[in-house]
Amino acid sequence: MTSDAATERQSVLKVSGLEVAYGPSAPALRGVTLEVPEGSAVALLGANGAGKTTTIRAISGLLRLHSGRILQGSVEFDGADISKLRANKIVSQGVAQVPEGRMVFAELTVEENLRIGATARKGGYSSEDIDRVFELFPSIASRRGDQAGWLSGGEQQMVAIGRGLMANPRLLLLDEVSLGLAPIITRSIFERLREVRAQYGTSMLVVEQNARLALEFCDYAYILDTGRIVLEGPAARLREDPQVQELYLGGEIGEGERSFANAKRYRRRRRWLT
Amino acid sequence: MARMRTSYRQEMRVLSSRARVGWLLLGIAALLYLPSVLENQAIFGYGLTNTQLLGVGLPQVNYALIAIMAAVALNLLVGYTGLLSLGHAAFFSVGAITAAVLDVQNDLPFPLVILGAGLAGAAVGAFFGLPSLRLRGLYLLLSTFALHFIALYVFREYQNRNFGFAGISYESPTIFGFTFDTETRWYFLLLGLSAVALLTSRNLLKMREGRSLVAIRDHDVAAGALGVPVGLQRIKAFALTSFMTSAVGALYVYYLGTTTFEAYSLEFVINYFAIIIIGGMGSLLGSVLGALVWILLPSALQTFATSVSPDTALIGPLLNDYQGQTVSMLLGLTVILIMIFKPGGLNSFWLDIKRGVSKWPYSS
Amino acid sequence: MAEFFQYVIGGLAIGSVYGLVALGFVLIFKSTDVFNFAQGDLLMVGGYLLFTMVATLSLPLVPAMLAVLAAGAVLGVVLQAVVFRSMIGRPLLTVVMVTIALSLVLKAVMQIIYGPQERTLPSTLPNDSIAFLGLRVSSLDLLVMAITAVCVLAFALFFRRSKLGLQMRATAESVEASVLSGIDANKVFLVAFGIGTATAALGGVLMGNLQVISPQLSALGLLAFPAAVIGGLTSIPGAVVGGLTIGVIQQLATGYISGAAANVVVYGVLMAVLLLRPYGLFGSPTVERV
Repeated sequence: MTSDAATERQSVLKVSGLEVAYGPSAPALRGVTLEVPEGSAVALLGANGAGKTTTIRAISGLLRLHSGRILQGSVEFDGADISKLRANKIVSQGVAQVPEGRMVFAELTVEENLRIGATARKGGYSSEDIDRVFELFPSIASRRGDQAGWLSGGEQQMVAIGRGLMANPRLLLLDEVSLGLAPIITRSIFERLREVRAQYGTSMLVVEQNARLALEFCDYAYILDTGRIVLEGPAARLREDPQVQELYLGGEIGEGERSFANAKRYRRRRRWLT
Repeated sequence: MARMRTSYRQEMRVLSSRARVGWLLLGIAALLYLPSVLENQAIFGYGLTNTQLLGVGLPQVNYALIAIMAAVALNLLVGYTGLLSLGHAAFFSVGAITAAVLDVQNDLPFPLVILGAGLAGAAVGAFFGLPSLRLRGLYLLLSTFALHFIALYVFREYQNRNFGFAGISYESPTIFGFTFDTETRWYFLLLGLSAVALLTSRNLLKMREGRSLVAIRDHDVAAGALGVPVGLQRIKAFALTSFMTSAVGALYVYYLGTTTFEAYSLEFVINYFAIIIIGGMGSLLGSVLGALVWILLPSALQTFATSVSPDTALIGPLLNDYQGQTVSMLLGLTVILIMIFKPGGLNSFWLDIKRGVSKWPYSS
Repeated sequence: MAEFFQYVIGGLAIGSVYGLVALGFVLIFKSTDVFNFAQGDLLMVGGYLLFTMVATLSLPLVPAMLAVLAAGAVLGVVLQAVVFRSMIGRPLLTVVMVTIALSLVLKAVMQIIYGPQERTLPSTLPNDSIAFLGLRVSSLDLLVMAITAVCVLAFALFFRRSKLGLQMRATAESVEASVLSGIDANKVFLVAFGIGTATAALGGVLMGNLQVISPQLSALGLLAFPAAVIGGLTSIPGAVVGGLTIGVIQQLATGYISGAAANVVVYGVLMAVLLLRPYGLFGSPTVERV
């Protein structure tokens, strides 16, 4: 379901001024605003502890499970506020998450993992849906009857993505897909994700520490730092931005003396709430 | 009024501010006056009815003091060190057996008996603690669960072989010719011992030993990485707390004058868990509050029962014929409610009050 | 020698009951992470409810048994909805305390309603002495074992084949991942509790046929814990095997030593298992991330 490039794309996801805290008073997000236009892929970058996973949890409705709560702001999916919905309800609305660390069901078989993914899917699933996942990820097709816990990291990641796809989502949230995987496998997985986008037009929000990979894959990017968006823009532009290069892409070679103090410029850019 | 300490020395002190000294003196005076209040049922000449006193007499206070000491011991083990142990009744029974063996059968003097009970308890406790070297959490709980039944069997066999089904009887203890045979005399003995127990525990917790126990509870692997000898400290925690519990167990049977193996049931253990939960786990004040509730509840219920006839619809039989069970039921329900709504127990209510008062008018 | 086999058969019968209670316990534990200390008391409640239905309400035996099962399930659902729902995510100690307190409440309530005296069912399931493999055994024992076997089989099929069973297995592994996948975790918990308490009630119903109904039943019900541990706290077939083992050990010890000693032997076995192989016969050591 791709929309025309000419008209303004509707946002499938809109997060506005989100403030989230854990426990009684530990603030994690201090006013995050981002948008995922229909059919596009948006990257959410940032260092450890910046609040990326918290943002994903807020969208998926998992904050309560981690003693977190939304203090202010809204999360809108297709124009409707989902911040008060229960997590499994959000999945049935069309938002699926591929969680950090994969979280496959180790004792269930690969096929059972996929079947579980379709639990909240309106209208159930068919064996074709499962076959399609195996077409996308042939290396796990041969392991469909094996327990998922015995698969390698990369294969488990494929199972997790497949499980997410079984929910037939309009929006796929991918949390640190590259974590712990060999670069070559990561590349292959992102290739598959490109195919998914091409075939189904699924919108994606990609959380990554591997900024280079994310900026190559996505159209637009936000950079999160201690709970605030400090930079955003089209991925192509951010790739060339010297500050981004310095902090997230490894910097340019042969720069001479570099100090963190110089990089602090970007912190002064405040994100005003809309 | 915030408890800001400005030096290590101040933190180590027993009374960290002058105001506390004042409160302490007031408290001591009140505690010394208490027996006469209860015996004469009058305070400063002003008479008090039974109902106003909630049916509390000196016996209830003495029970409460015993319960406080036992609750402190349990709290140190479960609340502060995080070792889930169902051995409480077993340790009490060790105290009873030791007292029987040393005094009834061998006529040793009272202070030695108590000491002996403590040492026996420590030995059994260390034994109970051995599984904790390998097991944690749930599995440790189950191992103490098993040991409880085994220990009880030992007591039962001992009682049946040496004393018969009626139980073991103990004479009133004497120290240097002074016999503890009245409630008032027991009161002062128990009061003194409770004070020692509370003070020792409080100081222990402020020292490195005590802090290492809390560290083990919160994250034993990290504690080990910091150099805390986790296994050794666990055994020490078991040994120390069961020393206390057994000594209290011996005091208990001397106070009651008699005991039988049926007293040391699983329900006994559960009651003490209820005490520390209601009072607040991991808090000395909580142990005191919980023990007080445990004693006040039945006596309050008793006085309330006298004003309700046994024929009143539901409450009548509950209060009159099934008092024991009603108390148990209420205790259990209270624990459940506390765990759902205020897991910190009465202690956390107290902390809320203190916080609210000290931050007034900015309390949120 | 014949005596030995009598004890074994009797042990298998009573062990089936322990196995059922342990099965319900493991089910609840696996799915909801709640260590239900009150499981043994639910056995007692089942027995007493059966007595009330049959003796006081004069229901015929089999419908009464089914009614108790239903009541047990309802009780479990109510407990989950009212008490344990708010316990999700709380530390283990907290949850254990709540179930311990629940155990206290159940014991007290049963005592208030029924008093301390023993009750016997006016009529039980057929209890004839029949010839089986050259021995005289009680048909009741065999019936109890058969009922248990049917239940276990039904559970196994439910878990392996049904959609809800799959969801329960998933939730048992990880609540977060299940919820992420769209599973209604709350519904799963309700079902888990309902089935878990119903099996304990069934155990009580069967026990009521085998023995007198009294407060002692809760002590017998406690033996479900050693049974579950021996089987491995997270294995459902293990729970049943553990129950049978405990039942046989108990009967043999009672027969050859004494009733009181039997308890010690059983708990001694529990201790040994905990120290040597804490994850039981069927469980596997778990690796925890520190």
